[in-house]
Amino acid sequence: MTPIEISVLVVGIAIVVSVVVVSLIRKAKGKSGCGCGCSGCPHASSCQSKKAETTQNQG
Amino acid sequence: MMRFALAGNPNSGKTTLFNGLTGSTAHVGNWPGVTVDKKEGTYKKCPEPIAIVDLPGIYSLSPYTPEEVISRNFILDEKPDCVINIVDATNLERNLYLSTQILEIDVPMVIALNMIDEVEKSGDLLEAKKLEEKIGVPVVEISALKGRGLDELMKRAYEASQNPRKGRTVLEGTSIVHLIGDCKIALEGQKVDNALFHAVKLVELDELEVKAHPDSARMVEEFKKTFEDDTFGCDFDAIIADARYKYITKNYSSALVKKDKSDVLTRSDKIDRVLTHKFWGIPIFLVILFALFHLTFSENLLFLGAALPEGWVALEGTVLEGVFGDGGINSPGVVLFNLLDLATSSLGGVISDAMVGAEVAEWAVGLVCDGMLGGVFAVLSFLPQILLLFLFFSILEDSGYMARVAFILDRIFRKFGLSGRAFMPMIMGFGCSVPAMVNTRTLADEKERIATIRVIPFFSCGAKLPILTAIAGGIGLTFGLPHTDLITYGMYVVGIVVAICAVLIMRSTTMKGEVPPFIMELPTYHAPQFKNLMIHLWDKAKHFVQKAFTIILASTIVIWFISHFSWSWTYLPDEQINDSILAGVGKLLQPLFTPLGFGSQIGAFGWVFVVAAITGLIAKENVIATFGTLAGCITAGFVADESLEGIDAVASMIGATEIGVPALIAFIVFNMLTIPCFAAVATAKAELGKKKFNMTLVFWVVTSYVVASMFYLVGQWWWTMFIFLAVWALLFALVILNNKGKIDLDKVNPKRLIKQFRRK
Repeated sequence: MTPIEISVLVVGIAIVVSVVVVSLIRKAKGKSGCGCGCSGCPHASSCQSKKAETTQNQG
Repeated sequence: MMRFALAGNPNSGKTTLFNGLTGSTAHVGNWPGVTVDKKEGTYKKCPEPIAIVDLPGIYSLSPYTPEEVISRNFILDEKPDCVINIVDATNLERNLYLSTQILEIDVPMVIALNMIDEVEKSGDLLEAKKLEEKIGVPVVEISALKGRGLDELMKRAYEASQNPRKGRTVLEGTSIVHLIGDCKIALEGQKVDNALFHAVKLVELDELEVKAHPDSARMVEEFKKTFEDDTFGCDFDAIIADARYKYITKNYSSALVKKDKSDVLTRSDKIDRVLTHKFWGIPIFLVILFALFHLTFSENLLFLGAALPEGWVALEGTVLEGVFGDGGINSPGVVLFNLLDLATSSLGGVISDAMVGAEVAEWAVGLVCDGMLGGVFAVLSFLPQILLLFLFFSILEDSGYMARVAFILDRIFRKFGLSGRAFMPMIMGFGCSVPAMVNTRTLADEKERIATIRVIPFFSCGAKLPILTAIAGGIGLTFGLPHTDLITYGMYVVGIVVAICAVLIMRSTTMKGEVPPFIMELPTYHAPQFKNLMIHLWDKAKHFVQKAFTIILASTIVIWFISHFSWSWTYLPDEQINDSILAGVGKLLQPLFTPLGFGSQIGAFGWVFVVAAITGLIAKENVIATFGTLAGCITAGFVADESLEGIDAVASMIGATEIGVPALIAFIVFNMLTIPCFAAVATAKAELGKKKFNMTLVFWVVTSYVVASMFYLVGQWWWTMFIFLAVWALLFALVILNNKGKIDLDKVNPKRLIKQFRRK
């Protein structure tokens, strides 16, 4: 296999493994399983872990 | 860190204030139930950082709804350093009812008179200083929307938090003040905090208080036996409520001097006369909905195609050929889709040319162009249309119109056992099923809540949009059918109709229950805030792209792998894709979908439709991503430097399988109604509990299968329509007769019927 082919294979496998691992880690932390984003969602705190979400004042 | 709580009526501006103080982008909706849990942020402009807690909107501190329980428990148990009571200055009397209850709690308190700009605009005069003198706590005029007075509010709140405050009641002059005093003394003897508040609640025979203090509750009951009020008898709840409102009217309302406009209808009233009309309300809603879809999906905007000179917008021979229209003007959504599609196709072509030029192995080219780019770009092209539709729905919600839709629907469906309150989470399902399911916590009736959760996925969320658009577009491209936006719109309407029918049947049979009263404040119409809309749009776009390059990308890579390897792990070129693991699984399941039209009856590559439907369980966008990945491999005469995306991918699959329009419509319907994505499934499980969740899974599969079969069968053999109409008519007749008490469907026991049948 040429270096490009090896790179393609490695990147493909890395993407799959990292997405699965990150999803499992997020689930273990009780974080949102919804891929739709949270800040536009009125129930962000209900989807997330029991710890209160804190945001920083920009001002 | 100090903590301040924001408490107030729904739609008083708490979340807007919260966003203004903390820099958050928490969602601001225009109906009750947008916030059903508390949310925290930090304000840093005071001498020390302060945690701001946004509580759900409540009308009182009585425990009738989950929001009231959450807010009440937070103020009493978590003991915030200050309660900022947001009062809608345009609706002073109603809002101050809650204020009189908070006054009874031993907690520093500040009143924020919000929407003061609206008061000034209407010509009314509000004397905040006068109100402050009468009520005995700081009163600050603010406009949360315009960011006016926020720093002054926090300064006064901080100062108030430094001085402990003892609760006081406005019920001093009532006939039950001595009873309240006796209860307070009894509770103080038991070392109960906030004895005054609990004493008043005990006299109201508040169920939480009665449970917590049974001895004092017995004292109240004894007193009740000998008490009689001229107007309210011994209904202490009513006596106290009446006393509060009388006190507010006498002492606080004089702070507001209204300009006499009793004969003048407000702007909102005038608009409501049309939009919430008894007969025209729903048709207007359907027209508005159609307009949204027309602006997003139409390839013949305003149906001007016939009137235009031929080739006027086609830009033939240029790189932008067909982008703006071909035979008709494309809607903004379609133009943006075409532009993005052009960009991604070009990029895909450049990459595949470069790889072929570098003599990279065919499998590597396939993995990159089909597995990675094909799948992701197939979905990414729909981003503009998803955002546009999301923008339109946000405008409808923020303007206050969506609240009216629930009100209009309540009027009609109450007769069938469904309240308008149930429609609010359903309408939220147009955005995403997950928050919509959580929002059902606002429904007091448990059976209504379960029924609503079950049908929420039928309201097509943003993730299902690529399925509708791509299949409809594929139908238009292959069969030359015009007005594909009508197909997309029609499918949305089908989802709504199926949802309503399913809930009506459930509420009339297994989920029968009382229809709870529906009381909702209709917010005044106002122009949505541009900044808020753009922030949410950006957030939606960001997360859609993130999802495309993570979950969808990973899924399409896996799909490519298992579609290019046999069961013995031998690599298969595109021409042998039918021997792959993926094809094997698809072919195994394919016969199950024969009644739906995309089973054994379609061509050799029909398994792709089955596999696409299954990958949609991970994320609904995967359905089209799967087509994008596999179409390039399957299409006859595949050329390595071409990639097929979105609508083209679907069109090529239609050509390869010779699937017909009825089966394609059935495919859309199946994917719309079947088990939703994993996130929604997890939410449903959390909300319903295991037993009801299992039934819900069965419900989703059966409903999607039956309805999709109906569409296919009627499409193929039109006369079957009469059979289905007869069955539905019989079903509804049974439901109506059951509701009128002529028959009792509860007595129908399927197990007993089956036993009897077997004996015979």
